[in-house]
Amino acid sequence: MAYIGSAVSGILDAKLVAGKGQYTADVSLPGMGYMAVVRSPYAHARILSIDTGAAQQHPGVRIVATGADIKQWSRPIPHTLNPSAFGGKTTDIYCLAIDRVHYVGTPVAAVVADTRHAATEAANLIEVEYADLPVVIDAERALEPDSPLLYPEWETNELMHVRFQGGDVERAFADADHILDDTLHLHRHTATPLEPRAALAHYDDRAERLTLWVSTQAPHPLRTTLANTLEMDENDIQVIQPQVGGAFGVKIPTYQEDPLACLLSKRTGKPVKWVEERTEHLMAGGHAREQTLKFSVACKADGTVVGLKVRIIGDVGALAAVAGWGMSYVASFVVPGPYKIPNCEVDLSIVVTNKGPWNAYRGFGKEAASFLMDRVMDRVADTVQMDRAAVRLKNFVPKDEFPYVQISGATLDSGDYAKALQDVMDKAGYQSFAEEQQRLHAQGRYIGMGVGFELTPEGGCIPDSFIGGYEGATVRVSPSGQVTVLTGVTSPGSGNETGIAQIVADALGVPLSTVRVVQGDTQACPYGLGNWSSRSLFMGGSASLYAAREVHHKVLRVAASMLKTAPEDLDCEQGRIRVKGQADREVAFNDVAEYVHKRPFDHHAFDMEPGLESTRYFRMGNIHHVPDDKGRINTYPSYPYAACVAVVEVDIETGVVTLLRYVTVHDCGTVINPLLVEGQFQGAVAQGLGGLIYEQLSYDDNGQLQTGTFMDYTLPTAVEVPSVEIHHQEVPSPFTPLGTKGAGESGVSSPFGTIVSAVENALMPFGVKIHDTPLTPQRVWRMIQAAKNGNNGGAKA
Amino acid sequence: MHTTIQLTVNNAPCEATVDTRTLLVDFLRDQLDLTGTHLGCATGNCGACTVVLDGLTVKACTVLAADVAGSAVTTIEGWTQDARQSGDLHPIQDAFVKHHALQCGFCTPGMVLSVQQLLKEKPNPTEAEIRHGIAGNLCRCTGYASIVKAVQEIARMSSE
Amino acid sequence: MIRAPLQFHRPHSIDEAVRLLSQCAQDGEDAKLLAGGQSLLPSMNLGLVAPAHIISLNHVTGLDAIRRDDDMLAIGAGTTHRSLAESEVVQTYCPILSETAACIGDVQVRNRGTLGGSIGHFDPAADYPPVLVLLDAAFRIVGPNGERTVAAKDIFVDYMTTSLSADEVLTEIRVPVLSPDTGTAYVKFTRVEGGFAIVGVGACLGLNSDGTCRSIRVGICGAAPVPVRLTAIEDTLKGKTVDDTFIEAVADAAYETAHDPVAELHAAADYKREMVRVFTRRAVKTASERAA
Ligand SMILES: Cc1cc2nc3c(=O)[nH]c(=O)nc-3n(C[C@H](O)[C@H](O)[C@H](O)COP(=O)(O)OP(=O)(O)OC[C@H]3O[C@@H](n4cnc5c(N)ncnc54)[C@H](O)[C@@H]3O)c2cc1C
Ligand code: FES
Ligand code: FES
Repeated sequence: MAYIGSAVSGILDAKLVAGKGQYTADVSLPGMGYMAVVRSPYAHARILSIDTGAAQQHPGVRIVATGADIKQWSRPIPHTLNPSAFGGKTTDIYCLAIDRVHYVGTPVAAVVADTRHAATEAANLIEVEYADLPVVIDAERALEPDSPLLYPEWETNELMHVRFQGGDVERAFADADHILDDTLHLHRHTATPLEPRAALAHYDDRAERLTLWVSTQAPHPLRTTLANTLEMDENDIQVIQPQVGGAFGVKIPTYQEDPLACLLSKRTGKPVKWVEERTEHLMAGGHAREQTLKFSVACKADGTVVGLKVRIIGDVGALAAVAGWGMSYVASFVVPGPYKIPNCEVDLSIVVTNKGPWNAYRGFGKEAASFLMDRVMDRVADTVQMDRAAVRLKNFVPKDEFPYVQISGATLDSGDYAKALQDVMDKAGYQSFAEEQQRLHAQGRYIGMGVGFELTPEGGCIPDSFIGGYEGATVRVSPSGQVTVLTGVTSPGSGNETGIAQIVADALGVPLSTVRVVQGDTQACPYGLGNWSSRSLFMGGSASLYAAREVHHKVLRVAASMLKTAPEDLDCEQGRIRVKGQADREVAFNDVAEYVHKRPFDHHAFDMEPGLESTRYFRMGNIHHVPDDKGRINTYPSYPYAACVAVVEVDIETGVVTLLRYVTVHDCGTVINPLLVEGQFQGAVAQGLGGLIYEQLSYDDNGQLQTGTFMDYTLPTAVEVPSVEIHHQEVPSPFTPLGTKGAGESGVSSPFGTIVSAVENALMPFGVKIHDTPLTPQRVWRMIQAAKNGNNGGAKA
Repeated sequence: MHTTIQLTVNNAPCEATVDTRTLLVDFLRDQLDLTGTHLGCATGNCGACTVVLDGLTVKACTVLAADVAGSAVTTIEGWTQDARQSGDLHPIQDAFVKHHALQCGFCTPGMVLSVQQLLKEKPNPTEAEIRHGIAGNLCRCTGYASIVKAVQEIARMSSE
Repeated sequence: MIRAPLQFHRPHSIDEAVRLLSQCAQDGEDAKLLAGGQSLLPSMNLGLVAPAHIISLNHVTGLDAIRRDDDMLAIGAGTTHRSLAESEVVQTYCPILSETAACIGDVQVRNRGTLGGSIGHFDPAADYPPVLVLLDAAFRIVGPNGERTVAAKDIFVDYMTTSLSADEVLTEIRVPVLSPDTGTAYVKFTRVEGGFAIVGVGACLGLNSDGTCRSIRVGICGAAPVPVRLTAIEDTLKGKTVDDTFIEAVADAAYETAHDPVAELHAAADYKREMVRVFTRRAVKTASERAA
């Protein structure tokens, strides 16, 4: 295998580094207009009236639309995941708000004008009269019987209640040596990719066809959703995904602005472009993470965890059609992660509040589960006076018990968790750290080491949705031997196009430079579900492999006939097909390709189907949606994981936490390209670190967002993010042809537990216990002050 | 309200009529179709819009097009053109490709221009100097680790 | 994107700029001077301000000159942060100003942003104001009635308000040449690299030959809506031995003075007040180490 496993540079990199990538905002069409969206300045209000008169009159304006218009012109946007299918509540979401707004930033009206300036000016002229409604921004408050209600017809703010249960939890608690409780709080933050959302819709009146260029991760599902919303035939819609400038989940679903731009193009008969502003993105592009995690854990004196009760309250903001609430569901699904805790129950309330709707963000709830379980293990370690790593080692699912079914039905595929943790401890010098710590402490420095472990279920597959566990790909060889791979998966900058090209080049035995990967065009590519949950390479790559093998088989048959030998006796490398062991008997791959196309009735190809093309679909073999005897289904096929060690320094005068080192042993199965995998992991850790310490979406009591620009939503720079030391432990997945597991998402979860653990370790002299994020200097400083005053915030044991 | 400006863009003289409120970044992108300069925040924080103005990097979302009359602007397109001595790319770009110092590529043109400014001033920067030199360019993907590696390699090569 | 139309002016002299400002004032139209645009343009892009006229100072020659004038340095208002940071004259005669300029924002912001613009904008977290206050800088201002000079203690009036009126242009900032044995330091506490200061403290310390304090000046941002100077204690500390007790006394005085910090999302008033103490301690300590 020439390419698989090697650090090939990204096949798009040379183009992107020269500024030649074409992103959605870079696409222009003659005669296009620009869309501006009017958004609610209130967190909760009824819309009394909208006066669009002045806007309509403004020079250059082509169309003005309000919710009332939209309701006439289109249907509600189908939910990416409808909560009602999970026993929850639901509501109809149109492109613009109808009657009522539920968060600051709710789209209420839209304008299209000849120029962006004119559109914005006209948007400012639209007068919306609102009647204030009481606001609830706290999830626990929202659950109280007298809370204001977002959707009065529900008679509650609880979107959904979920319970997972296994074993005999009460018995386990009764038999335990120790029981301890704690409450954790994760704060709200978001992916906020550097490229904002953008769309260019073109309804061609003559052809009666719609083309949408859009910064999306999932073009095919988007097309289906558009057809539904716009009441058009799918055949009349083409969705094209240009280069995407980062996505991290937020560009999976269909946003309100996507069908909105299409509708307004259809009504004006001209193309409509929309490029989101950063402030819009931070208000309305989708939020994540904010959850309260309560746990009660029962353990033995030797550190064995015998029972666990978890209560999760997910504050998912207002309901949108983008399925962000699913992250809280997944958080509960993943508990207890990599640990063997058969007596376990999880009780989840997903709650709506007057804040921005949740939307997918890398981690997708797994980071909450990871943080929770890391905190559980650290607390147990404190209580039984054992080393934190030792407690984890004691409770891991042993390597000979895979596949292992968790209480939720999550079926862990393979791994060696203990080895990963032991290896990372060795690499990081875990055993000798205490000495160093003492030495520096004597100089007045507070250094700490933490351990953490993340399990990152990947390739999510949810019944009756476009979140599915299969993928398609076409491999096509042209008469000149050029290879085109058309995939259903897409790349928002995650590099899978390069990995897929490597897989196909190896399978065909051709140079990588002859392989072109085409993605993100519903007209060209086989139906596929797009990019999320790290699925693109292990599902899309597997489908591509199958298709390439089929083509390869044909090529070899023809070549064997030409060389008068059997296909099994041939090797194909770098475009040369040779008889094994006979260097002089060879034929070029290109010549075979030409032959197949031009001489299908001649000697060597007359007895087979013409053409050198194959479309294949790959499905994960270990997903099951038929409930087992305990009523469980498995929605994730792949369970990569990472064991991590962090070293931090805390400035106890200011509370500033500096991450000095981050070391990991990561298993994503077979590594197709270490350069890409490591790039993804570095990025994921940086986002985890950003989320833990620097980034926060903060609301005041009136539901006004206080961090609506990059001035106050502070992303970490190169100065804050150290380079991660990455080591691979490749335990191949038994369920994919190359042993690949998901890669890309993992790395984002572990910083929460690992760094928090390290900070606690650094602050051991004060006995500080951490429950809440973000770890801002002020918070850390306050904890130190409280501990000095005799209140260490310790868990109730 | 409009005004006419004359300036040099990517070494070529350019005359254009612009709406007086047009930002340099929008002028380059919309009027000159130089879409390698990106817009990520419009508050001067992200650096995706970085261009070279009269020899120094600036964030083009904080500059009015009307104000650069008489100036010379270089974008990633022009810089790439200039940089081609042999082969297709400048050594900085080659190093970025080799180390995969980009993922989605959205921050990359601005990042490359910041790196060239850094290396012009400090041909042999320390890791801390590299990190400070690119602090005005956010990479959300975030390729900081490989960007640092790429810059270190260029510095090493040029000092050999 | 800038939401409202505007008229753009490109004066070539200060007088012309002042005339334009006056004209707009007479017409009742809102006008803003434009320097580096590092504060103004983000505000306009966000729609926080929407001036009808922009009067650019970037085509006025000589506004970025740095000269030594006897025992003063005269710095043009249009001097960029970068030029201040790199100027040998400033590094030699008023190093604290170079150190301050070098820690503002990031490379691109420093390449473009100016000293005059920072004062004109007067963000309560801006880095120059506390330093200019401790240096007793003088500000030359040209208006319709000619030129006037304002002292640092009189220019920063209130939260985001200076004593510059709408028809005036700041042209020059004059700071004293510091004796070479003065130890100076500006230290700053930010959330991320390139961010605004939560607290910033500048200190200048001169030592007598016996190691006692000849003079000390401290200026702080983040302690109040305007920069504060520790005038009271600056006198009483003269002649005292510079040791930990000395440094602690300055830090305590800073804490006492900082009774009204502007609370921020991640820095409540009490926390900021404590940080004023911590960073004053650090600034004075560094200055004392640098004092010959
Ligand atoms: C990402 C980023 C980070 C930053 N970080 C920091 C930081 O860490 N510390 C810090 O102090 N600042 C910081 N700034 C602000 C920066 O220092 C600005 O450069 C400065 O505040 C304004 O200078 P300017 O020349 O850009 O002025 P402009 O933005 O052009 O003008 C600012 C204001 O001053 C007025 N003005 C300009 N010149 C004159 C004059 N000669 N006379 C009268 N009025 C005038 C203008 O009318 C306007 O109201 C940051 C800015 C950005 C974008
Ligand atoms: S777009 Fe200019 S700095 Fe972000
Ligand atoms: S590569 Fe995507 S933002 Fe840097």
